[in-house]
Amino acid sequence: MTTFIQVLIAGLGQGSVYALMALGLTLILRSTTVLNFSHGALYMAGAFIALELIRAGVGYALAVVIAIAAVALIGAIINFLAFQPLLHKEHVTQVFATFAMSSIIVGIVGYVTVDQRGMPPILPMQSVRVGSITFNPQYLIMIGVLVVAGTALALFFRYTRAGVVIRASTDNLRGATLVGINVRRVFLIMWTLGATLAAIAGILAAPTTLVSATMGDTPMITALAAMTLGGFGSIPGSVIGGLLMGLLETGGNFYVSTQLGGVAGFIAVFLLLVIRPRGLQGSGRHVEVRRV
Amino acid sequence: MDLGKPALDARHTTGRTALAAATLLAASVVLAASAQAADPGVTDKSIKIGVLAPFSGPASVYSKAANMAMAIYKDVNAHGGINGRQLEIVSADTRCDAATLQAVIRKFVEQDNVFMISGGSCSNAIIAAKPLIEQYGIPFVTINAASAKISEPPVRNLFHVKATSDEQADAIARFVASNPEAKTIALAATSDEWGQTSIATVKQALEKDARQAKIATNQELDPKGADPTPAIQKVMAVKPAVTVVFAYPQPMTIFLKNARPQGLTGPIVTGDGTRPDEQATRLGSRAAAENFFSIFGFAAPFDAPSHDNYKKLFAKEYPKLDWDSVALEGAVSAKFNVEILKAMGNNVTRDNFIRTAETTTVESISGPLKFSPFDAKNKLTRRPGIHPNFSVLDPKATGTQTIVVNSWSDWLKAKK
Amino acid sequence: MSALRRGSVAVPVALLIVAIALPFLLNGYHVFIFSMAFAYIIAAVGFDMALGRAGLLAFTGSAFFGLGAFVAGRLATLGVPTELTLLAAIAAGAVLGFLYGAVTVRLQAYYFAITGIVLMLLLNFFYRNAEAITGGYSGFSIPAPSFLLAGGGTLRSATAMYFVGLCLAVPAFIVARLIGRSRVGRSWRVAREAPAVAEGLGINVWRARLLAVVLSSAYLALGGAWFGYLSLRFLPESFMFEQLLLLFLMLIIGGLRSVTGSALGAVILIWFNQYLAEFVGVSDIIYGISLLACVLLFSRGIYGTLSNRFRGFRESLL
Repeated sequence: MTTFIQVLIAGLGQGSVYALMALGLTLILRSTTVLNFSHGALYMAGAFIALELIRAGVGYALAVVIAIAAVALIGAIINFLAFQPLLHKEHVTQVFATFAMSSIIVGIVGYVTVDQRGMPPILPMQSVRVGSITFNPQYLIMIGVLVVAGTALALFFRYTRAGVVIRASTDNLRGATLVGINVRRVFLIMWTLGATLAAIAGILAAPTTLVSATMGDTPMITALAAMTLGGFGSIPGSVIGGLLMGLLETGGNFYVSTQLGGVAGFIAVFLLLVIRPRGLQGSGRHVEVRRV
Repeated sequence: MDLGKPALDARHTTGRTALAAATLLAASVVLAASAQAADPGVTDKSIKIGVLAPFSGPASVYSKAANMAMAIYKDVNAHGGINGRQLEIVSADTRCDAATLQAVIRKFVEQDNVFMISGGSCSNAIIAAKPLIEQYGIPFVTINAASAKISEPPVRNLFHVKATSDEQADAIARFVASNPEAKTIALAATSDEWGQTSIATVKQALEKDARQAKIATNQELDPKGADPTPAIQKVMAVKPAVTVVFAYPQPMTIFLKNARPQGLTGPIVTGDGTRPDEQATRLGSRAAAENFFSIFGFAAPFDAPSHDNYKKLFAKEYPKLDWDSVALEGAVSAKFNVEILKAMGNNVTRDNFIRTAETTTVESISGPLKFSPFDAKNKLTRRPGIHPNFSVLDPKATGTQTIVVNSWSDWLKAKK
Repeated sequence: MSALRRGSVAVPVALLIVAIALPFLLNGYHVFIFSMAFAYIIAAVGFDMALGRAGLLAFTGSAFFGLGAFVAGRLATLGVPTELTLLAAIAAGAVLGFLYGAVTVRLQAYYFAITGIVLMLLLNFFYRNAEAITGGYSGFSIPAPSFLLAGGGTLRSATAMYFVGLCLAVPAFIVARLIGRSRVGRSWRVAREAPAVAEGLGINVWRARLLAVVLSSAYLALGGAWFGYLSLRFLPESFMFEQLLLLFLMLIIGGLRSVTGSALGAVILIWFNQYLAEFVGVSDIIYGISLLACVLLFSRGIYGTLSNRFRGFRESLL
């Protein structure tokens, strides 16, 4: 039972990071129809900038805030440089433009340093003991941030004017333009928002792993699998998918073998797709690829 | 199928044979004359060396050894070069990809005309390229690639400067065997390539050289550092006298962080993936990294004064990179190359490099490097005989200073 | 009309003459890189059938490329002559492509993409762990090719490998062109652009897509098999995301839905990768900037955009 609760906490914690990634990816996908392959690089950039600031003596909280802001700015740059110029081009072209941005970002970080460094955790204690259960408190923080971010976004999109406008624009781009909504501003906001979520995910995950130029590669793939599991294009699905991927990975590590843990999530995705081609929550609507 | 005209050929044969013989004679004279000419990459004023490493990509952290080597070559040039010749360096990024490594080797040999190649951090890529290296016959001196398969079977012109993975495993087995109380051993390793192949080699070595010790369990750890508690608990259940763990720095930190508080207090032994002082710094506590022995390919502790020159040189050329044992290791291979090139004097040919390498002992921070005349059946002829030691936190110090030990009795002496 | 026809034969013939002359004009390094390009030309023109023409988000490139290298390489270590190992690779690609496609082709775009990644990961898992058959992490050495038709002698020289590669790539190219212009090719186009119309025209979209997967897998496997011979060793790590990305880029840069474009993309990317190796430390940045520039400037791939411009120019001359 103890093991089970430990797996649950670790799995949900790790899963929260994947959920934040998948959420950001889905938001960008829904509003711009582009699958952002630079998401992993943004995740990494958040962690890297925060760590460099901390190493330079900046306080933890301030470093995190600056890092998130910087990555949000990078998201805006990607929007202007690699997305808007290709607005009417094929999907594949747009996707590869995001990939090119990823390469540039990873390249810049790799140029600065090849070292893999550890990031100090938010709370000084490395493990907490409650009864017979020991766990890393970082996991609780991850879950907490997901809950807060998720709630904030849900409230924003539902109850604020900007949120409603963005939703309308996301649902029907043409209609939104006709009605006079500034869709370019919507794109800018969504890219910035997506990048922010990626940066938050990276900063949360960094203390449990190593910060290096390539740290975003695997989480990117896992986030894609999470989106598939939960239903491509579905916002609640991305969160559920992310949490599931975290649980499957941790559960696979614990109960079966650590070799399997890495692929357990993907095998689950494969099986799910064979049985239920639309994922858990997917309605299939947002999966149409106009023209490849 | 034309079966005709033998008679005609026979009549003209004598004339043709004479012409052929004369041509051959002339050609061999010309060839003999040109054999005296320099090998590719060598002029009166320069020797061209190709340096390859995974400067970018997931293995880029290991390219620091190649950076150290290049810093040393640059320093040698600043001090007059080698026998009046400057070292001309051509570098290339292999990204740890086998196909790219082979293409780079071909480029170095056929386009850049280098004299020799200094490089190699990625074992699988080098193993794949062995037939090509052998075919070219160019002196190839590796920098930090560890797999035993690089020099097993050995290739005449491929010099494997490293305490190889099987030599490291043997060292661990001997270390365990030198501890008379080590009757039960526990093994644990991350489920990535390095962890699994290393622990399998260690298992073999233990079964051969440490027979008094019984391997009671072999656990898997998550390479990403996920909670290792189940593995730790299974290890503790067998009450091991010594635990051998193979994990890269991050998962190792997680392991140590959890293992000690949970009661696994016996000695922990690992390969050369991480050092005790490094772990103590990461853990923020000396206590968690005590009694932790890592394979260490150098004669003196990491912070010893004898390493200061290299540290300064590296910091001067690469101020943004961290100084660690990966970087320090590059100095060994580079020193070897420089000394052999010096020892060749004015006879700078590839063949002479190989012969000189086989007969010259080079003093280095890893001890004496000595190869021997090539024997295709003996892998040791292409290994320099580095006997790895172990680095461990100095039991008498309060900070993160380390000492170097070779056997369990060394350790007991150090503790007194 | 006949002038255009003549023009369309002259260029390929001229290219073929250049291709035959190249090994005698360039050094061994350049010849090897072109040899590699041939293996990738085969893979790319095949991959385009699924990704470009049929419009499937096929993330299967490196999975089948690796499968071909594995099957041909393994058989080669058992002494099987190269003609047969290459045929076996093609067959393996087709069979696994069929099994994979039959299960996944009905899935919608991005879901199908994920299954491609899963296939790649599962194959990699198999290669790494079934040590007895696959050699595990460090794989196995692939011996030099030896063709029955050439008397069984082993080919070692860079020039010999080059010409064999050329002899494999040219027919592969021509067949891909023929397929592209055939009814099958047209059915892919309709299935991609307007699936509803396709059904109305009596085209079984599912079957057309499955065929695209099978053919592309067979091509990828053949390209991979030759890649294996050129690489001297089979390594599981060579057939993961980097390989997939390379194949994607060849199609994107060269031009989707164009056999010539894919082939051109293969040559460009192989050379570009090599060129990048010299930019120690900044290769990723240059890679990204070049890719971005390419995507921003050449919306239909280099070949697509150039052939459009060239066609306009040619037409203006007539």
